[in-house]
Amino acid sequence: MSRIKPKLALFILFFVSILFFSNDFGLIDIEKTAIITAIAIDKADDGDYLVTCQIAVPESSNAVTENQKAQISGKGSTVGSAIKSTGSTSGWFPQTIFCNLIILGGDLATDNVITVLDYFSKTMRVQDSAQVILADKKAGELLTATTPLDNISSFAIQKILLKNPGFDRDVAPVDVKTFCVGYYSLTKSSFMPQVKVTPSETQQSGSSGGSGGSSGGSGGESSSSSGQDTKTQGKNLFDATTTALFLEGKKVGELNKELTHTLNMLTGKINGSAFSVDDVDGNNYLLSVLEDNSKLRLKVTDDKINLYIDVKLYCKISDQNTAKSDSTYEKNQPLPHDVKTKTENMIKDNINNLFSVMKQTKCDFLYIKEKLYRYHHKRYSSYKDNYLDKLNLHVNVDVHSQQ
Amino acid sequence: MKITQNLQKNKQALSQLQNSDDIVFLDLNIGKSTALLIFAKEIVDKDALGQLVLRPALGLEGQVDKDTLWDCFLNPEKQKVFESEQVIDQVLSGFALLLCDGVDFAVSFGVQKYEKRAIAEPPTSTVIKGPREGFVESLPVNVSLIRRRLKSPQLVFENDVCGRLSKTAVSICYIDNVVDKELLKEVKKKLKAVDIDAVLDSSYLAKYLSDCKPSIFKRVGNTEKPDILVSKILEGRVAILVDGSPIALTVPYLLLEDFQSPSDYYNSPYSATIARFIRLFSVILALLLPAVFVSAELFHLQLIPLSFLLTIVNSIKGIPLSPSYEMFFTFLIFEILNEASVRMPKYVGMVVSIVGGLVLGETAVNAGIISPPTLMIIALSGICLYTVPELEQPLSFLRLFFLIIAGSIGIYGLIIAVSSLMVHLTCSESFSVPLTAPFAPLVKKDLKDSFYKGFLAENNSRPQSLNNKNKRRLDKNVEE
Amino acid sequence: MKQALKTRQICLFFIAFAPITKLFMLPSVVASLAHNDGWITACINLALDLVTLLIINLACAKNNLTFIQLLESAFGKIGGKVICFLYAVYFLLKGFMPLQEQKEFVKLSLYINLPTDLFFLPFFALSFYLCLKPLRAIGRLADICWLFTLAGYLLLIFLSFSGVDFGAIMPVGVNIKGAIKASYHSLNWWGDCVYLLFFMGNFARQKRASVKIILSYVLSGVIVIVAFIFFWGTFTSIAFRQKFAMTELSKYTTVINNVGRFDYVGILFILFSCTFSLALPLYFCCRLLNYVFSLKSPWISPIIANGLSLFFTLFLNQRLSTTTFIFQRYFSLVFLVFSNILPLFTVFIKAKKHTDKGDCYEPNKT
Repeated sequence: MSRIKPKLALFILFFVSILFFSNDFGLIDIEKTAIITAIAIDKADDGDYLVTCQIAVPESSNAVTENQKAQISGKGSTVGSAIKSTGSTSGWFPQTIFCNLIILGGDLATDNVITVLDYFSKTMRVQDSAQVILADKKAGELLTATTPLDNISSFAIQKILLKNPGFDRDVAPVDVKTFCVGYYSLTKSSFMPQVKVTPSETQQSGSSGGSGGSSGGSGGESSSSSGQDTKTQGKNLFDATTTALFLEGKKVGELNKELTHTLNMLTGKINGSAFSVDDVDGNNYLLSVLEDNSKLRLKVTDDKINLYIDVKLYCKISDQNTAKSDSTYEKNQPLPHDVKTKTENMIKDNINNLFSVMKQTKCDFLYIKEKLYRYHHKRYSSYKDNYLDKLNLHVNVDVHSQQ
Repeated sequence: MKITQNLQKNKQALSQLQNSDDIVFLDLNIGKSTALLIFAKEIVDKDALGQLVLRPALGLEGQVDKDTLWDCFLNPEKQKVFESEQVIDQVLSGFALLLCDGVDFAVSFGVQKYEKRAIAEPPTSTVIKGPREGFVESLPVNVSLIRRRLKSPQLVFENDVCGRLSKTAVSICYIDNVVDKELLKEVKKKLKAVDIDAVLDSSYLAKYLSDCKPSIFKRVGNTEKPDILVSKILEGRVAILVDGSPIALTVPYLLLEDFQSPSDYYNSPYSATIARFIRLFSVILALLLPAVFVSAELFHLQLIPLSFLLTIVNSIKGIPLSPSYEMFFTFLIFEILNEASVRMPKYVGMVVSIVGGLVLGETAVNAGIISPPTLMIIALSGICLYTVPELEQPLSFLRLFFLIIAGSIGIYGLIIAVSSLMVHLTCSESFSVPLTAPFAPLVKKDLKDSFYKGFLAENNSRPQSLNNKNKRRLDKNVEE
Repeated sequence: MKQALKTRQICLFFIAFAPITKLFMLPSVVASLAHNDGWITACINLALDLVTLLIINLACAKNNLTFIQLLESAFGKIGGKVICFLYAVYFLLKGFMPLQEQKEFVKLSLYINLPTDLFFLPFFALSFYLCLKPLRAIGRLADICWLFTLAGYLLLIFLSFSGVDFGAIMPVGVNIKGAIKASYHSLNWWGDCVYLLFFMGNFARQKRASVKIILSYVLSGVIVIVAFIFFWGTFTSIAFRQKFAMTELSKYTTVINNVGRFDYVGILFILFSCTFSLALPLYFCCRLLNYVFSLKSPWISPIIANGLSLFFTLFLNQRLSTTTFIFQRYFSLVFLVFSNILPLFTVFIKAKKHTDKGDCYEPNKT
């Protein structure tokens, strides 16, 4: 054996060296890889799926490296085959592992969207941590829209979705996994932000990357163009404050900005966000939430289900439209009673409206049925079909000023 | 062959020395007897020879017998030699030997005088704070450097000779009441077994002291500094000093030793701990960074953050080589520069560094042959390698090996390679002490002087990983 | 005689290697049957193993013989060899499924763009190399690997913490039948207590060794139970779809969105320990084959064990679903017998005085 040892070592070294120096086992050159940052899916007229992939194309100038976008499109009877066909038509290998945004076309929402999202949930090629949104109209248009926020529109949309939790909380972002978890849960309910393109009020010219291109914007017209876009002036912004509600994968309703904010308050914390309280004795106020201690409690008796919602917010006045001396701000001026009352009533109304939408659409976006199953399992079978009808809401809202 | 009372016969027995011109056979008349003084003229102190040997000898009168011959010399390093082979060895070692007609032994005088280098700070282990003396090529000087630091009767030097032709003096050094006797026996046994023409440097002996199993990691520690050597023998190790080599060997060797710098013991434990962790981190970086980068580029793009990936894609545009080739050739260039700068004279070396490092690198990047990330990674990895200079050679080899594995099979291959290295290291032993101690096997007490450097008071016992005696080394009440 | 291992190394062995193979495919297998009661499944399996471990510990405390010496003293040389051969086959089977799932993980999760079995094959080189090493190598590896296991595990758990819905494990016990069934199906992954049988007589028993060993096994079980809870809490209704549980948990944190998949550091740490954990059944199989066939050369048994494993890995590659089904459905009984039932008898064996031949698993000492 001691004679074989060096020969074996030599053979292994030779074999590994061949592998190393040939690289001839199907490796794809990084330069031939299309780094897909977002995928937009629409329904084609013939019922196939039309997929538009946004690719990040880095370009360097002497001073900075700025990323440009390019779109490649593909068509197929399934989402997977459509994505695959993008590679066949463009010659680039679609690298979807960096895809952090999936945009569903508005027309897909009439059918069960899970037929589309299941692919992303199952495959290892796309992270199911990717954000999923519903386009107001065509999904591809969102990707081709130009914006002053970023050279790559998908990055701009992600900024709105992901940076929001620490700020306004008027967007309810959701990833593929969370959407699927909701769909496959007992409630069969899910939601996702519905994004629409709005023209920029500032009509800002030049892109943030400093490129300052001057050619005209494509404005969503080149949804299936292949190759790199020309540099366009940013003219569009994205609005994701509407939340689309889904029951069994089909869109059944929407939540507006206020209700989305309320949804976020009930499902998580809204620290740092703000309420506009207008027209209190002729004054308008902006209240910042310093601390949110909202709680949901479910109490089930033999004949009804009581949902107790206790909202406790610590707020301060951030702004108001009347002139005040500087010292008032410094002393953390307590909330005027009328402001406090109006805010509380406003929140109460929003919560009631939210539950009206829930009952109307039967979309259990607060997963009350899950709570019923988990914490009141014995009574679950008797309520599982009519729990929304039997739901009694008890809302208590306390808005405090910071002491 | 025995020395006889017949001088002519003795002279004939020593005739093989007469072939060499540097050996002097000086016929003398001492009193009424004839005598012969033999010495190697280039390695004896001629003043001492005149003063301590010739003057008293020529002062003798009458017939010289054994006792008069022995008593007339006051040289402290005189001894009787009865064998002609021994006479030859002593002459070649710089002794002067006097044979007298009618006397059946030769008198040997220690009048050696070798040319030697002055004591200086060794270039491989410089310190900002702490002793700057380093060993030289002379064994007696090295012994004196150690003895000056340990004035204990327990410090023992045992002399031996190695090398069939070189007859190199070797000294085994240890603390008698600390060292493990089994270890000492093993060292002596291995030194006895050395059968080689010449021992030109201590590294020759290191190969014999290792277990002979092929390994890229050494099994014998070495140092050029007497303060480090003393600290090692105080821990229960055995040191081997070799005449003609400024590098002393120590056994058993632990891998951890190379992460410990002498300055760690002269600075605060906090900075020593940070420095050691930096060394560890650097070694990991040096070993794995090029490999991980290549495997990520080739196989696992998901490991790279998107923004960095876009930078990489941008930087490799137009590079004619694949990522693995690019890294391999940059690595090769770095090694060539490294090799050249070591070999070249100092003043040319500087030019090579500038031309190689700055001009070649910058030009290669500008010409689009290699990409900036690759150049940066190889440079960083190369610099990291030298935070633990003792491990530079094995790490350099492993770096290349890991790079080839990663470029061929990707990150899983790299994990397998690192795992195999771990198996190899944990199974390697130096004189029955695991190389990876005190981590594998875990020796809790020794962790206080591992990557974490405890306060002096915490290290009150000698390392348990070594099978030493006399475990306690200081009183617990030491205040920092 | 100087023992190859220390009690501490046995403890660290269980912490480092026992939980690691249970963190990949097992959680989704269990989730498909036991749903939110998956953690109860882990508790049942842990309890079963603890009973066995306790009994083996008693046997260890009773006498200082190795398992083989114990078998020889009870059943004679031939009887001992027959039992050891059966155990060698058992280890070959025990190592098979975790190997397949690891291969799938490497192929599908690490090499997304280039899924091929080629990249998993170097594992057999490591396994072969490890099989040549003495028992003390395992102890020393445990001394190092527990750090990697815990560091990787804690990093992934920490990153996934914010996304876990801990309420999802409620209501407790509604799927108890499913949990018991899942427990039976997951016997292949559990039963690591059997390794103690082969450490018998090879480790220096310290004070309260049994307590320490049992506690370490409990800790390894807790690691798995917590992982199960985190897994179900993260994926709930789609948990059964997540093939490689532990590696999927941590990618939903917003930190990952900002700085890239640095959770791979944890995954690679776990993978590092896992390579040794997967090689262990083959290692013990080799040692038993050395004894059974009195092999003189240390190379033969690693070639046989790794060769067979490699052959079946390649041969059954296209029939993996069927193989998984057969292993979970039919071979579970084999695992139950060899891991949990047969070791119970060790405590009843009356050991005769045995001449000390050292470690009789080593080929040169057979």
